[in-house]
Amino acid sequence: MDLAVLVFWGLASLILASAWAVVNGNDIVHSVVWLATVFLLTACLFILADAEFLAVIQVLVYVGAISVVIIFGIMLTKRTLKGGEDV
Amino acid sequence: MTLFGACRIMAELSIRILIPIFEFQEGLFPPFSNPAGWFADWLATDGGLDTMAWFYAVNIALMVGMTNLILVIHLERKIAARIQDRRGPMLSFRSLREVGEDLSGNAPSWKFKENYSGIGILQNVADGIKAFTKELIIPTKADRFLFTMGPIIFISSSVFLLALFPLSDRFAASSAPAGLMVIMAAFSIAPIGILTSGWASNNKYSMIGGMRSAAQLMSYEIPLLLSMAGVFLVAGSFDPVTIVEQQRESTWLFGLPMWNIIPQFIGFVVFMVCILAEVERVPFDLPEAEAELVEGWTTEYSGIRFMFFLMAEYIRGFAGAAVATILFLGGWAGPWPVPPEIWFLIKVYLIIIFWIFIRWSVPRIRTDQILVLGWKKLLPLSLINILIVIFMVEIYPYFTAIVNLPEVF
Repeated sequence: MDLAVLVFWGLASLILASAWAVVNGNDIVHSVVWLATVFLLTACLFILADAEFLAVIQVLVYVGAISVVIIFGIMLTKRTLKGGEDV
Repeated sequence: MTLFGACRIMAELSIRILIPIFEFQEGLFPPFSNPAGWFADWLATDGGLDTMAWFYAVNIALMVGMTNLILVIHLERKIAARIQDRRGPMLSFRSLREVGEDLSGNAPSWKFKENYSGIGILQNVADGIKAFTKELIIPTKADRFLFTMGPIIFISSSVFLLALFPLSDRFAASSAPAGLMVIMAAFSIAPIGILTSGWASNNKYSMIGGMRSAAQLMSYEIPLLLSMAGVFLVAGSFDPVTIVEQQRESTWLFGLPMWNIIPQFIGFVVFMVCILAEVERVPFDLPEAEAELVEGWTTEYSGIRFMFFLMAEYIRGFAGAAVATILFLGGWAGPWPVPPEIWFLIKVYLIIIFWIFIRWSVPRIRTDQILVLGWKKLLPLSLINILIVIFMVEIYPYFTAIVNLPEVF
């Protein structure tokens, strides 16, 4: 089998696994970190497709901005410290 | 000869040694098939050779970066000491003899040579040993998964930076056409690592530090990229080599080189402030403010993890200074007898020394001030810079084609 095809299927299965982890996670912050992993691996797919610039913009926009905004939003909502009283 | 060419020759030599070894291992257990032979076949192809060459190139870039990292940390110590009217670390290899006499059973005499003043390079070794031998503590109530993932995200994205910037047009481990955008993308991954490690520590101060850091990095990335856009417009490329060539070719009064710092001085100032915030150095170090937040998001990390955080921060500082040099200070352009790599490092170290001076002379700014500065001052300034560049690159040449105007730019 061609090496590129092998890499593609490896990346695709990793993306699906992390997407599954996004949906099935218990903790919402874990989910966002897995979401960032999905975005990063998608950028790897773009590199595999010779779309280098698109990959860079994917990382800049999705990983660098959108995931961070989501995590930031989650952290601004009310939560309790584990084993402690309300913050 | 380029770095990659040299690496190719080294790869050819090492493949010549490796292939017989793998072929020998293939024949070791005759009835069973062995992947070693397959690997030898792959090494003999073009792809195998290229992979080996990349391996060498990236490792050389990593070693150069790490050496510079130690030098930067050492420089920070020594200059900080001089600013505070101290001498800083002074134990160097020259003082090992005296220490050895103490350790070998003689009565300890803490006297060094009369006129002794070492350069203090052994302090780095001592720090490394200290970090390695400390216990790695994970708090009981911390989120174990993210507590270990946070450092991995932050440190790997920072070390990745070392392979990305070229020291000159021949000394480059990577030559991506979108080079500088790749560097900014690697810079922009870090907030996730910071936020997750701050959150996973399960500590109020760590979380506040992580949130401050995310707010700061996100709001300063926009003016940072906008101030870089001016340079990209002038050079018409994201490639560091093209950007430096453009700066080297354009001249100013009396044939002086016109580096981008001259026509885009506003952009340079905005870029320097933003990159200072991006690498979280003083005065923008409020995510890890020692006095208020007990080191912010790194509070709960101990031993080698904390050391790696520190290391990654210095790598980010070095990479930021390198990007500033490529974009605005003419990169490796300089008069002939000094090699271009040395010119590049001289400029980078000048920026870093400037940062160290800032660190020990300027107080930290407040959170509200940092956001006001970012959104109300730096963003409009970077837009003004882009307007100037557009006038320079697009509008003025357009009118020179119609009316007779003196050639300024």
